[in-house]
Amino acid sequence: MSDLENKNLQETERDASLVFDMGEEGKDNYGNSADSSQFKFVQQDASIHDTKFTTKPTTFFKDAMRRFAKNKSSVVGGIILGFLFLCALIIPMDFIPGDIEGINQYETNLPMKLFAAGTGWWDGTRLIKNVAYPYAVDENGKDILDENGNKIYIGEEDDPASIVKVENVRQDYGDYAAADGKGGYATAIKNPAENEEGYYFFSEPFDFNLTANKYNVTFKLGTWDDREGFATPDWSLIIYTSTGDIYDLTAPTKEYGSAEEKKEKAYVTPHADMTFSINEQMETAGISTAETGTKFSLGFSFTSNPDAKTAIYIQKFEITGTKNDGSPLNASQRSALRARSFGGSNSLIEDANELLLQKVKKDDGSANISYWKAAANGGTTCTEAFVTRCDITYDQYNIQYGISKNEQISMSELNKWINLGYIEYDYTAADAPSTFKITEKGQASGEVYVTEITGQTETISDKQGIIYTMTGTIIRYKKLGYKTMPIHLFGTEKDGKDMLKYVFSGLRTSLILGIIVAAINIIIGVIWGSISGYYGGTVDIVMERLTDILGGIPWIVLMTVLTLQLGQNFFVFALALCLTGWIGTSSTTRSQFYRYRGREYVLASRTLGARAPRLIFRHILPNAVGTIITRSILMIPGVIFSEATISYLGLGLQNLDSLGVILSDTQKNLSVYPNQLIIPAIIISMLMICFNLFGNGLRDAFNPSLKGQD
Amino acid sequence: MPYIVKYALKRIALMLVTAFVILTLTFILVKMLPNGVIAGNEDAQYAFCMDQVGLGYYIDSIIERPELGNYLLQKEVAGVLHYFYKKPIIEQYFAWLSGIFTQWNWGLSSALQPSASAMTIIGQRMGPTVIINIFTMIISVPLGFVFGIIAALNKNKAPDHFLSTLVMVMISVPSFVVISVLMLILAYNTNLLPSTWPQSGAPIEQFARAMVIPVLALSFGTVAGFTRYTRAELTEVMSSEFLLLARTKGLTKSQCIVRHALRNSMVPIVPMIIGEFVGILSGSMVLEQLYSIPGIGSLFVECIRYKDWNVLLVDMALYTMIGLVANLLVDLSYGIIDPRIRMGAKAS
Repeated sequence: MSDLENKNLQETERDASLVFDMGEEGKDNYGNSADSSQFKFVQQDASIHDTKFTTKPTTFFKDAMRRFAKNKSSVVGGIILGFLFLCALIIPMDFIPGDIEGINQYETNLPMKLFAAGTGWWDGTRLIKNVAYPYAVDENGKDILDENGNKIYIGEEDDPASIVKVENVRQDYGDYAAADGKGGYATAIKNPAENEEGYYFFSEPFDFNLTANKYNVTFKLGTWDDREGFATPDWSLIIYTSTGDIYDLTAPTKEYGSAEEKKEKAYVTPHADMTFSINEQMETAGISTAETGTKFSLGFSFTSNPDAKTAIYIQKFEITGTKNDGSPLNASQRSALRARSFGGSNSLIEDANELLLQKVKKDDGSANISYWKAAANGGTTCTEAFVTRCDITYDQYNIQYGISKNEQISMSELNKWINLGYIEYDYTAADAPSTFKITEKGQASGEVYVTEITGQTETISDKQGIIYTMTGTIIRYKKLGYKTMPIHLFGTEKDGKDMLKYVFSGLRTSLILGIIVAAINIIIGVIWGSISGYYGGTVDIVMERLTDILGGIPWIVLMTVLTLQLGQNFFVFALALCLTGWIGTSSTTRSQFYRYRGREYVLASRTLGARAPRLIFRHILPNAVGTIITRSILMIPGVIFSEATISYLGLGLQNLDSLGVILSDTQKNLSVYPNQLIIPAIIISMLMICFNLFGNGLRDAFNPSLKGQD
Repeated sequence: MPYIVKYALKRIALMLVTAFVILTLTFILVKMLPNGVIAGNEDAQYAFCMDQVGLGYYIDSIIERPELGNYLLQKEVAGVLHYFYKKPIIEQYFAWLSGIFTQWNWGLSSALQPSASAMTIIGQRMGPTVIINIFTMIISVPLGFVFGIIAALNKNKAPDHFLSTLVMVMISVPSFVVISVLMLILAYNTNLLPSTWPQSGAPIEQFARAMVIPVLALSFGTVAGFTRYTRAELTEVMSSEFLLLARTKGLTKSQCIVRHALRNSMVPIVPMIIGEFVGILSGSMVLEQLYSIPGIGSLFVECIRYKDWNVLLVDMALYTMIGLVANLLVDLSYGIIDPRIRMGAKAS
């Protein structure tokens, strides 16, 4: 004890002895001195203790917790965050339905579904605009009804029930080279090209019996003289033999017959019908029937200047015939001729559009034949086709999971069911497909996905004998192994992965990355900042310069170089994000140390013999704990954001789905399947908002003086 | 020498050292990457190789030298077979340095525009990026400022709560989500605006229309940032004692705000504008990629995709310098605008 303090102590003792000797001050108003015997100690014999606190003691964390709980928005943020964490933990687990492995080709790009189809919202339907009207219409655009008064379905989907809603039905004439156009003109367009004088347009070959019968051909051509840049070619009627020879029946001519009046809105100038007798023309042109062989096609050849762009329109081409005596041909010959014609009212093909598409049609159920062919180096389209279009809301789940016609069914599959007694089927019966029957046992099992067999073909293999291949109608979801039609809450993405599971497994990856990186950054930052701040001086200067240089590297550059050099995997990402991520923490820690290391309590501890680690970790660091916790919470969304950004630059994680990878993948389909992007976008936005709310709430709770600075 | 000059010189020197170290590291790391295929026909490849020889990156040898690894190109010139090899990285590094310091030559593009100088490509790509960022600043500075003032003057009232919530959302939602949503609404669903950047040579109004979405998407976060900052600064000034004094000596509230509060709150905001102006350049990288804007950000991605390392190096150098200069400008401008702030002054 120093002399000075000793002296002070002595003075204090002396003061204490003078308590009741108050001198002048001790006298009352009348000048009488107070008698000390009149005074007594109130608590002379009582032992005095501190009274017990009536309030409960609190700790720093409890206090912060109390302040945090007052901040409603942060609590809400925290709760949502907790919910997201929970989802990220539970939803990717196996017992939740949904597949996110591999590619499921039948389940791609499904819309979101929660309610039954037709509810109008979140019902697994997709509105497709401007598509062909899926029901048969007559020339006036009125629905053709069957005997029961129902519309006749001619759409392309296997199951008419897939159509939820048809709206905005409209009809017009236009250029539609699509199956839904009706009538119109077949257009053959030739682009200018070297050595390309003619182009052809002809039907399938037919066995014309020119000795017994007479044939006439009637056709109607159209021109479009004011179509800019297009010339009108010369035409001639041709015979195209099955051996590949071409003969002109008529000399090439510019004569198109008299032009009829233009229809309203019509682009093409139609010309009058022209009729030629095939027999006479062949005779005139000097083509003997022997030369042509028995089978030949009829058609047109168009010729023009090779450098010219030409366009020609054909509306009608009809072959009729009589026997030499004028009596009509028999029915089968007539119908075969009609199959080579188009445009007539009673013919098999009425439709220029259909003709041009070379639609494959079944001829007597035997083989697929396309009736007309065009050989032009430009293109063939359709003009002024009558089109009924509409906007259709499809039940996408029914299309992809529901009934599918004309599917191949293997023998092994059928045999399995036959052995189990689920179905009855006789491969060798005369009409084998009709013997297919699902037994009651099969109905009960619900495993048989075939509902109908429509065809059976057999191939003979040396090893296995006769192999039958069946075609038929199946229920897709049963074939895929589902008991009931699956429901994808958020739809599926381009590989058929269930979005709900996919997004949350991505969230899980991102959160794991975020938490690991934040943890490492906090540890490194705290240690670095502590050392730098505690020791100060040269150590501090050297360490600060190092962080300055490291901190100067843009993270995007660092991350790019590292991923390019070391590969796009989880550990490289973590490493790249850790390399500079700790600098912020280190500088806050350092400033905390600057603030507290000179305090008296630290000095006191040091005088009591505490060494550096104890001073750092027991006495100074706890002051910074609030800031550090806040910082580590706010670092997680930062890491997730960085990861997403780098994914967008094409350097995302490979073979591992993170939110960033999902976002950048689904971005490519934004215009077609926006729901695939919206879901992960909402999740990442919610995550960011909640993390920020939660982090700010924590900061305000730990350090009330900063409150309000968002 | 005034203190600020000394400080500035110190900071500039440090910045140059930092830039040098970073670029060295980047160069070495990038040059260690496998080479992309040299684009173009054989003549273009040969020209590229000869240029690389001139720059000191490649060795032109008339005998095969397997000790240098696989040759990059083999070409017969005037009856002599030439082989081209990569030099060791450290030699390339010194050649690179001397090229930059003596001729300001940053090398040639190997894949994007074969045989064009990297600097030319960067120059071509700067335009769209800078224009978009300038427009973003023009929109977001005043907006952020106005919102910030409204929020601060109505502190803890409805407008403040509304704006603060909005700011929280706008700051949190990543810009790539914003641009996706904007593209979905404005381009795909309503067809009001184009969904990609027009080809060069398109009429000016097409560019103007195409600018709307990226500028909006970029402004989203920037406006929120300015609003938050202005609000924080202004509320702090508003609660200070000199404003109370100004009121007591008889100034009206509006006089107080305009003459005293706003001016003083400007002090930290101006550096932020400067910093943001430079810093935002690097923020638009993903947006350029998504909206296919031919700027330096999408150049970065293309360089990686086509393995054009020379151009990538220049682009990275540019981004590094942008970051460093922004930092420096912010720190320096604090000291210049408000002399009371002495950055880097010794801690007492």
